[in-house]
Order: sequence, then structure tokens, then C-alpha cells
Amino acid sequence: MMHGWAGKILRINLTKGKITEQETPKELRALVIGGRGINTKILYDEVPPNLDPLDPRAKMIVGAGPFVGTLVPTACRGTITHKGPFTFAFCDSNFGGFFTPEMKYAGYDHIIVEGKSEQPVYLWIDDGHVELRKATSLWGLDTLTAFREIEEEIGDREVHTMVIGPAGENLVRTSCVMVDYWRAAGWAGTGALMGSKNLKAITVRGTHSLTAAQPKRFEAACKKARQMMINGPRTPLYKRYGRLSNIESLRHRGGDGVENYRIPDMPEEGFQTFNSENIRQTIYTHREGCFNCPIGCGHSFKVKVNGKHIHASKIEYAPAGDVKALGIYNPEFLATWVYEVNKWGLDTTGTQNVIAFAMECYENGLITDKDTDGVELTFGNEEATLAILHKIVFRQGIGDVLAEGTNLAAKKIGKGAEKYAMTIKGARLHLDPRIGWGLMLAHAVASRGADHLKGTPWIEFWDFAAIKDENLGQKLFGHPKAVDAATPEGKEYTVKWYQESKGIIDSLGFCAGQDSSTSFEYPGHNEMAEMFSALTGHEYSAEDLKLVGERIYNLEQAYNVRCGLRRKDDSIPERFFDKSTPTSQNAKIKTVDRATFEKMKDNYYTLRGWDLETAIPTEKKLKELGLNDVARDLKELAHE
Amino acid sequence: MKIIKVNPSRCTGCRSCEIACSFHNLGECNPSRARIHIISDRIRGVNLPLICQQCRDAPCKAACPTGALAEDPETHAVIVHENKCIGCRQCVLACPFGAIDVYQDMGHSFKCNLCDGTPQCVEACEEDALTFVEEARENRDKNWHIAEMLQKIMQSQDEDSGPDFSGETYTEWKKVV
Repeated sequence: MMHGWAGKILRINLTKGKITEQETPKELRALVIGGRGINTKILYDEVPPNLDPLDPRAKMIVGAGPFVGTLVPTACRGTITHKGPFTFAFCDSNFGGFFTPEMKYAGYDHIIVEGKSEQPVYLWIDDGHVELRKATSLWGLDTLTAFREIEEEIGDREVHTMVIGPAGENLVRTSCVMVDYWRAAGWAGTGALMGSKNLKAITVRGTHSLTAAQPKRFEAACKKARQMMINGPRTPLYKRYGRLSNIESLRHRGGDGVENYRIPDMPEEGFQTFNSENIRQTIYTHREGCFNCPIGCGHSFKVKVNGKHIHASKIEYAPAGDVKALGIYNPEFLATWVYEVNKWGLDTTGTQNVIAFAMECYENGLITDKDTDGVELTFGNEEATLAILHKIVFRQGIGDVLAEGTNLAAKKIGKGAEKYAMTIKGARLHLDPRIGWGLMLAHAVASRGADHLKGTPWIEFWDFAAIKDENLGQKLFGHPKAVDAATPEGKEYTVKWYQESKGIIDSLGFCAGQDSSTSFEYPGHNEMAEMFSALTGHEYSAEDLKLVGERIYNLEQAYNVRCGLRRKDDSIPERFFDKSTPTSQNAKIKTVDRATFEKMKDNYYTLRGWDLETAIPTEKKLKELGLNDVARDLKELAHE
Repeated sequence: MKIIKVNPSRCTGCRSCEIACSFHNLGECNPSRARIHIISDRIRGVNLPLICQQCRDAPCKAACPTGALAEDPETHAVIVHENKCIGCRQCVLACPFGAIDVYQDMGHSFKCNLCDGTPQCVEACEEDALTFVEEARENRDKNWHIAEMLQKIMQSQDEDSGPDFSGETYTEWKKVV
């Protein structure tokens, strides 16, 4: 009997309307556990690297790890993996809420959607019963209405749903999937993929049980992890401000990154209104938590719609960072922005990135009033921001260009617009990389582009007593300077460690906000290994888990190099190398020297066991990780 | 006598209580078989924990033809004697809260038994939306909140500005209702 995993993978072929099931293979579970891990392996095995991301043969893989839906605190995280519509390589997004636990109660660890339906449909999974239902009447609806309509049609308001909005239907490349009304799988542009498949939504209801191999031991391990979270040093902050407390954390480190990163610090009068306490006072109403989370960092807020305050939910740092990147420092507008992007099904940061890019183009005369239909697209202009957002959703006028995402839009606009594109590997930048060398390296080499969530060594930014320990870097990572944000030395150790740590968390289904990457007082690899062993009955040590993390990361890199990405793509926007770009007084890095940056990458590839020239994982490394088939594929690639 | 007191305004809707309940009582993770349910109105942002009220004059008990439902002399919880239960669902029909259920594979009805005096849902609730309190003290917090609120309203009327339901008073009010 399988413990922890639900046991089955559901496969939907939309072209043929065919629905099949298979057991979650034992080899895959042993190799990469589940969630992000198995998703990545399926992507690697089944989606040809040369396929267009929105081709009907492209696949969307939804995955939940073995922790999801069990007693493990915060275990609700799901991953959606596919070829990225704007990265044209590996891409995934992680989301919380209640959808993935329900999916496991319905019996499925993963859902693979392939092909393209002729008519709009939605997928209804009711325990073992799976059907494709007509979604003609849902097509065109905003996400909030669509959620409600689906619940009405099914006649149960307790079902859990993920839907796309008009943005996804119109193949806007920065569109997201909204989950359970207010949560988003935003990163990867999944909305466009679902739109291209004519798939409006996936709805699930599950009533089966998940069991543990050693219930007593499992309960004890979960209670311990839960207590660690409750007592954790950042928990009170998260409870009071949610992730908004990052506004101050980043400001103290010179990471405001306003007006498309051309200005490093938010102006003082902006900060007077746009700080976490004032945002809390202005729009906050109450807290709502994800499944089985003792913290509940998701804050609900009120937003004015048609002159009336209504409830909306889940505000966190990303949209706040986005609003200030547009040069707007108004909490009320933050509420409106979150509500609007959620409603239309847009990813907040991707959309911000392309709008900020357009604003800089406009201010520098690359696009004019004629292009924007008279919208005065300047930084800080709230009305213009919303106007252009609507144009993007419905691909009207310049919106049709911007809907292609920052890089493709830059190409279409031409005239050297590329220099205003704040992207890495086509993906939008979210933080100023000059706040720490480790963070910069992590952004440059991350498998899905400009990414703070796949390996940023947050330990660089801890203010806790532990960091005062001078030997900490040596003790934890094997390099004395590893934890110092101000030096490029030893960063390969921390970045690799954090990349693998995130791989473990994502493949188990744990929340990255409450694990040891936040602080070592939170559950770490040992606690994960204990919970995993007790839950599944397979004895794993922290080291075993780290090996899985390394495997996942190598798989993602292998897919990327097969998509054509090489060492040169592991970089940061030119703006940050340019000495004329102003730097914050508070930033650890005043100027970025290209040679230093490349040296840091050298060290990283060496430690990873990847080829220095191409960043292709070596045969030796892949075989060491038990990825012999991948080694074979990449060998052919080297000969090409 | 102690009861589970529910304070919906503190509930974050995280369902930790459901999972703790099902794991403690069944040894499995399955919120749909928990004895407590969180009803989440996601549009209005309201989360309401629903649980057996342990009614004094319990309709489920009255409806049971075999006497399988009886009050526990220590905890005063209405508990199911599984060997007497025939799974006829009369209790399910009778309960006004939907707090008792029968599943075919279990063969008998199941409901909150207060976990023999240490309710696991309460243990799992980090927000104090669920507390296990003496019946006689249930209303004290509420009384105080109301008193404070009324005081503020009276003050604001003194200043001739009328009741203030938008700012602080409103937040206080939300805690109560």
C-alpha cells in the first residue's frame, strides 16, 4: 500500500477527449519524490525541447508532493510545470491554497493535460469520476465570476477550482491561473497555455483518505515542525503584515527597485505612505490561511470597486513590489492593482514588468501617444497603468504588443528597446540583484529565469543573532565568506545549497516561506526527512533528500540546455553592469564588475559539475546522480 | 462543564482542525471525514467553523431507535456507541447543524466526541477561533467587547459625530460578530 502519495497520475488528452490513469511510478517516486520533481521529469521525458510553448502538443503538468493534504503543516503547495510561453524553456509556478490537497483526496498526485480541445471545456474531477464539460458559457468570464458559475453548475460551493481569465483566453503570455478565487499560480504564464488548449478550468472534489506508514511517529514529527513554525522568529511579522514586511527588509538593503529599476530607492515621501504599517492601516481587513498552515500570511483586504468597498484577498510582497516598480506609492492603488490582475487572470509581476518597460520606452520616446491611443504612459500614473492593463488583457492597440511579454515586445518595438527589458532568460525581474552577491548569482543561473525563488541564499539577509557567528559560513556551507552578501566569494556554495533545498521543499509540497530558508529555527532538512520517512515508510536522511534536490536541479538544467540555453543566458540585465546606473546607499554592491560576475559563475559551474563553457551538465555528474538517460541525451547534444 | 467555543472572526479557514480531527479519530488524513467543518465563503471572506453543539436536548439522541447515542457522564458529549448503531441515518436527518454523518464503509454514525476531554481541533487551532472553555464563562469575552464598543459609540455621540463604523470601532465590532 502506498502511503503519502495518492497513487495515481491522471492524463487528459483534449484533442481526443481521452481520459486515462496510471499508477504513480515507483521509480519516479524514488528518483525525484513528487510535486516539482516528478513534474520536471515528465516534462523532460514527454515535451520535446524544440516544441513551441503554445503548440497543441505542449503539456501542462500539475503536481502535488507526498506531504500535500496530510498532517504536515503548510503542506498544500502545488506546482504547475510546462515549457514557458516567455522563457521558451523550462518553467513552473508554485501555488498554495486548497486545490492540491483536494486533488490528492480525489486520488491523484499529478494531472497531465495535453492536446487541444475544439470547444472551450473545463475538467471536472469528482473522486474517481472524471469528465470534460462544456465551457462555452464560461469563456470570456473574469476569474471571480467563473469560479462562482462553476460552483453553481456543479451545485457544491466546497469544490476547489483553478481557472483562467480573459487574459489567458487571449493568450497573453504573462497570464496566470487563479486558484480558489484569490490564489495564483502566476509565474510561468500558464494562463496562456490553458487558453491555447481551450481549457477554462479544472475543478476537483475528493473524499478519499491519505494514510501514513507510521502514524505515531508521523504525528510527533508534524507536531514538532508545527511548533517550530509557531515559535519562529519571523512568525509575528508574517502574522501582522504578511509578506508585506519585505518592503522594509528590502528598503534597508537598497532593494526598492522603483521605476523599472532605473532608480534604486523609493523617495522618502513615497515610503511615508507605502510602508507595511500604513498599508495595513489603509486596506487590511483580516487574515486567511492556506491549508493546514499555523501562520496564515495571506492577508485579506478591502478594495473600492464602483465606489463600494468589497472583500478581496491574498496580498503579499509581489504586487507591492510591482506597484512601487511602476512608481506608484498608494496603498489604495495596491488594492486596486491586486484586484484587477486577479480578476482578469494576469500575473502581477510579469504584467508590471511589461508595463514598466513600456513606460520607460514612452518616456524615452520609443513609443508615442499615437501608439498608446493617447494614454500618457508615465511612471506613477495610476490611470494610465489601469488603462494599459485592460489593453493588454484584450490585446487592444499597443496592448497586443505588450501581451507578448517584455522580451518579445521589445523585439517588436525595436529601436534598441531591449535595454529597457528587465528580464533574465525572458522572465521578469522581481528584485534589484545588487542587494547581495548570492542573490545576484541565484538570479542569473536560476532555471526559470530572473528568479528569487529558486535558490536565493536568504541567509545573506538574516538579521538574527546566528549571523554574528563568524564561522557560520564555514560550518554550514564550507566556505568562510559564504554568508556575507557583500563579497562574491563562496556564493556558489550557498546558491547550490538553497537551490537544492527549494527542490526538496517543492517536491514534497511544503511551503517555502516557513522552512529553514527563512531561518534555521524553522523546519529544515532533518525535520523534512523525519516527516517523509514516517509518512511514506521509506527511510530517507537529510542527505538523501539533498541528493534528490540536486537531481531535480540538474534535470531542469538539462531541459534548458536542450532548449538551447547556454552559459551566456545566465546573466543579469545590462543596466546593472552600467556604471552610470545609480546605486542605493544601502546596497551591498555598488558596481557590478563583469569579470567578477563571470568568475562567480565559473565557481558555480565547477561546483555543480557542469561544463564551464556551455553550462551543460557533465556526463560524470549526471551518471553520479543516476540520470543515465539524460547523460545520453546531452552527449548527443554536445556532438551537434 | 466544558464546551468548544467558536469565534468565527478569528478563523483563517486553514482547516488545521479538520485534518487534526480526522488523523486523531481515524488515523487518516481526510477532512471530509472530520467531525468539524470550516465553511468558507470565499467571496465575502468569511470562515465559519461548524461543529456538534452537544445539545442538551439532542435531536440526534431523540431520533435514534436503538439508543446508540448517549451522553458521556464525564465530558457531557453526546457519543456514538458503535456496537448499538445500525447506520439508519435518522440522526443525520434530525441534526439541525449537519454535524453527524454516516458513511457506508464505516457502518455507523460518527460525530464529535470532544476527544475524551482534549479536543484535537482546539489543540490545532493557532488562532483561538476554537477554545475549550467552561460553559459558564463562554460569554464573558463577548460581553466585554460589546461593552467597550458601546462605550465608544456613546463617546462618539457625545462629540456629536454619530456612530463610527468604519475605523477602529468597526474592527472591534467584527471581532464580536
